[in-house]
Amino acid sequence: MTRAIHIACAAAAMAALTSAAWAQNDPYAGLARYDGQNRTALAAIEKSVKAAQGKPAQAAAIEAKLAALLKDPSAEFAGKQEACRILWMVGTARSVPALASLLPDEKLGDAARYALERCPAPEAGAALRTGLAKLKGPALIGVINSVGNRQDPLAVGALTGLAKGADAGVAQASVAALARIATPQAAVALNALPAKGLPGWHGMVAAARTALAGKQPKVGLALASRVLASKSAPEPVRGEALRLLAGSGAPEGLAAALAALKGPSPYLQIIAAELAATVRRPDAVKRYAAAVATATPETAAALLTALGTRGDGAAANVALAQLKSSDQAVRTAAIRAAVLLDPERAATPVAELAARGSGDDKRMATEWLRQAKGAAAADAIDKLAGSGAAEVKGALAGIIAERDGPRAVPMLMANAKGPDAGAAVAALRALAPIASAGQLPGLVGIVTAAQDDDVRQSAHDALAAAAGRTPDHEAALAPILSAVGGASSQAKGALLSVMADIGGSAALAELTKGAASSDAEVRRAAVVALADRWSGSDALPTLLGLAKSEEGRSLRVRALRGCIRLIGEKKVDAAERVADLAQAYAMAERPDEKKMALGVLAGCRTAAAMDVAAEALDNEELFAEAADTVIKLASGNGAVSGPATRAALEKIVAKAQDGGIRDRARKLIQP
Amino acid sequence: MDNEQGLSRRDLVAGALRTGAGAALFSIVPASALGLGGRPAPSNRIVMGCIGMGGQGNSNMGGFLGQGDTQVVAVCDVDRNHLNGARDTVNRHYNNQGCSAYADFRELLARKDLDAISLATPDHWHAIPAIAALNAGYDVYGEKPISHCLLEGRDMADAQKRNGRIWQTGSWQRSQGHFRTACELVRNGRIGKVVRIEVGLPTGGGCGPTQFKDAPPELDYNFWVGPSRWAPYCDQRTHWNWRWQLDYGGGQMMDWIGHHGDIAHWGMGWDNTGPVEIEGAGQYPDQGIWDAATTYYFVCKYKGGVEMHLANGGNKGIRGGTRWIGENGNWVWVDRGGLEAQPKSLLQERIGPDETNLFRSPGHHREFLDCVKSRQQTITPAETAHRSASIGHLGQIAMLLGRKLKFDPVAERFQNDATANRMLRTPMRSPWRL
Repeated sequence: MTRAIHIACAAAAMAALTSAAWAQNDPYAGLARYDGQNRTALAAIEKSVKAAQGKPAQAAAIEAKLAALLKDPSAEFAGKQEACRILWMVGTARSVPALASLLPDEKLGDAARYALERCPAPEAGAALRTGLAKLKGPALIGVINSVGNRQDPLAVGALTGLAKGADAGVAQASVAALARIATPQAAVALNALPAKGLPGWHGMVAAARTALAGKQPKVGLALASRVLASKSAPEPVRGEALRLLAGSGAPEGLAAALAALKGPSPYLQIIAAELAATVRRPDAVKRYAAAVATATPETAAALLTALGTRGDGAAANVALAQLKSSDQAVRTAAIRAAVLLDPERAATPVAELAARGSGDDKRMATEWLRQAKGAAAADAIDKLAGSGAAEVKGALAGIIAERDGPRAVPMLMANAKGPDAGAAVAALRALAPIASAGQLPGLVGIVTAAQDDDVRQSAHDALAAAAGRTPDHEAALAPILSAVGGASSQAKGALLSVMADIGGSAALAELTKGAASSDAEVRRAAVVALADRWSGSDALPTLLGLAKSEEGRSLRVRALRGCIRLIGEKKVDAAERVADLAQAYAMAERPDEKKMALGVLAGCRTAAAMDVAAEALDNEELFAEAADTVIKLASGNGAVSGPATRAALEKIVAKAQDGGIRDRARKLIQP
Repeated sequence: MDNEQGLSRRDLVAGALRTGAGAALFSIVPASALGLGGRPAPSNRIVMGCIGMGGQGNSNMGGFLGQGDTQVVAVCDVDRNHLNGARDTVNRHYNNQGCSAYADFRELLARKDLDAISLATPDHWHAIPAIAALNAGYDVYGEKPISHCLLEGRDMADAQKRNGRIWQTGSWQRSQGHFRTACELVRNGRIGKVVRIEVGLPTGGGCGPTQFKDAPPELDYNFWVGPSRWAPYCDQRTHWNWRWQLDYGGGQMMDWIGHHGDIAHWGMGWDNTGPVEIEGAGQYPDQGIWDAATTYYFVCKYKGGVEMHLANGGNKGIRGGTRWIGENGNWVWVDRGGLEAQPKSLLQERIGPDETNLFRSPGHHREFLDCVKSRQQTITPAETAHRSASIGHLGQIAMLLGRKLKFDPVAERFQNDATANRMLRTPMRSPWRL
């Protein structure tokens, strides 16, 4: 270390010691030396400020010392800046002269201004207003901003003059300050300025709000009207002005809203329409309702929605008339308004829209009919449903089922047996959630008689749902068993599928027979039903046999997948499941089924399962699934461990491309 | 707020429908029936500009670049290196030279071809560009905490409502499934009446003495300091480290309050309110320019008496993350590492369709873009973010003043404490203003 460095270090140490000593004995002297590094003195002063809370004499003494520091020419910039910061929190009129003297200071002017801005004393406001007349450039702009933040009404005159000046920065700041002050006088000044800018418009609206909330409603209405009328004001600001006007309850408010409905701005049209829900004038509903017919479709829809929300029946006729509008949005809004305002008269036309409409209007009409109380809606639905039109029956089927539940079953069953396929499908879909044991024979009859694929499929779905709700499986199976022998190939397939859902030895026998049928359609239906729908391991022998001997490859694969699924569900110990899975794994002709078997193996925590999975690691096509299975077998409670497991995990770490898999395996190896 | 105070057009209708005669009759009113059918919707491609291209800004930009319906056309930063890097990233992504680079956010906002802004500047630079963007008609994805002081947050929330814009805050934990599950368990009473909430946040650090020097040439340091009070440059002041200084950020506490504090609010349904009483203490470094509390503990009491205890993780036994504790001692805890509960069986609970089901996000950036198109509010609009940030702002003031404070969350003013009220807004250096 050189002598020079020794000297520098010693000087720095002395300075630190001296600073610390100052901080200990006289923190204000320490603050005067503050260079932005050691905050000991600052912390001591902040502590005394906290302690002086509620103790005026102590607070005054602190403030005096801080003010004195501001006038000390030898005090550091950082120390003075911190003094200003503390005064920003606790300063009073006492420190205003010291702070005001710093306003022109290029380095400290901002810090001093902050303290004056926050000080509630009138003297602080006066000092800032004085600055408006004396300062220039950034210092002036800062003071203008502070005067605005203080919302000083006494500064309006000076700001108005500055806003007209040539300095663009000063002028813009003055407009913003006037907007923040937002007294009626400030608003009048803003209104007289040629270029108000966005802050100016906001300020005028704010001033209008202040005036309307206070005792100057005429001033407020005039200001809001001026903003609304100004083409140069942004639309959101004009919208705010319109809301203020309408919300005032004055006649001018309703007139302005009705005028806006017809005006050129779509934005203001919608706002004006929405105000129909709330505007307070005796004739508001009548006049708003009269405007619907001539409004644009978007505005008419918004108007109807608002009038419906308002709930005044005086608008009912208009809403009912608009149910026939050619515009879907208008019809949709009219449905809502009509059923809210006059549900009795709305019921029939709304039911018509539910039956014959499409899109939003149909959805809204349907939603109402599903839950509407009272005789009018029920009568309208019954009348339409009884009219005989197939598309109407179809459209209303779901509504009827939801409204009436089991009581709707006879009518829906009749529709399901009717000649129109569309109506039958709709009725069967409506029946699915409500049909029960009593409908099983009828539904079996529809399955066997159906000529249309959609009808047969819908009848199958309803039959399966009804059978599922029938606790007595034999009773559920009986009508199916009695019909299956004489059924067509297609119908037999549908019935076999439902039998697989119901289960039981009789069903399994029928499905096994079907799987051996010479009729390809029946055979396929039986294999698919066993593989995909059967629950319970009693079908495993049949499926294993099919997986080995079925001639068609796709059915062989389907049967094998069914085997693997059922092995996974089998309620036996893991060793037995692994043995079955190993057999299925060996039979698999494609990687997909091997992967499926590996997935089931992951739940069988035995060494034999690990052996199968470990061997599969050598097959690139199976590596990811095999690795996942190995990791799962080697994880958590009951994990498979030992040399074979470790070797498999090490192989995964060495071979895995996927970082996530590699990390999982590595974590299991690590101690 | 009533509609005279500046709710958007959609807010007004939605409010009327929620409370009006139709509320019980119709679950959904189609947009067409609200008069929205003829509205000009944003084009299928959302054109974006990104302001603030540090770590988080680049991360957010990456999130947007990955969306097929977004086109980033402009980036902005006061550090030329950050700016050029971000521009090059965008140009590489699109394989063209179409991205414009701006050193001044005002020039970017003056473009006429943007739909939305991504904003990820330091905290002291949130409010000014955000409000300028909202006033210019842009939708904004903005970082948390939304504001640098409480009343800036109020101004931002009001600006969003006044202008009818979409705002998403970077409080992305709300878009994660396990955070949502935790909140749904709490909201639906699975731990009974909540009596205490614990929020654990990271611990801060100091930097020791620093050497002031000239700013590097690539950085417009005066612009970087912006509305904050002047301070000489040093390496520890700016990129990333700004968050440990009260002039620009609020320490680890404010850095995370928009995550775990936000989740605490979400679980309680407190998106539109805040504490009524705050008390706490922090330890502040006595050397160097990093002056935010390193260790801290404060308690926020809410109307009804529920207390939220916030501390750096481990302090006062509070674990990192968010924990709600019920009257019978049952609890739910969540953080980025997982979800736990006492009893464990709570984690098997399913929330029924008639219970409170919170929004299932398609992803935080994705949801913002979806809302830009649909004009529905996001999961973290500015008001929500403001209330989450207010926990931290109020705690900060209580710790700095060292006394119990009473707060009115409606008027957003302290009661009977003029000093505390002066601290609700940070002054701005000339010429900057809101």
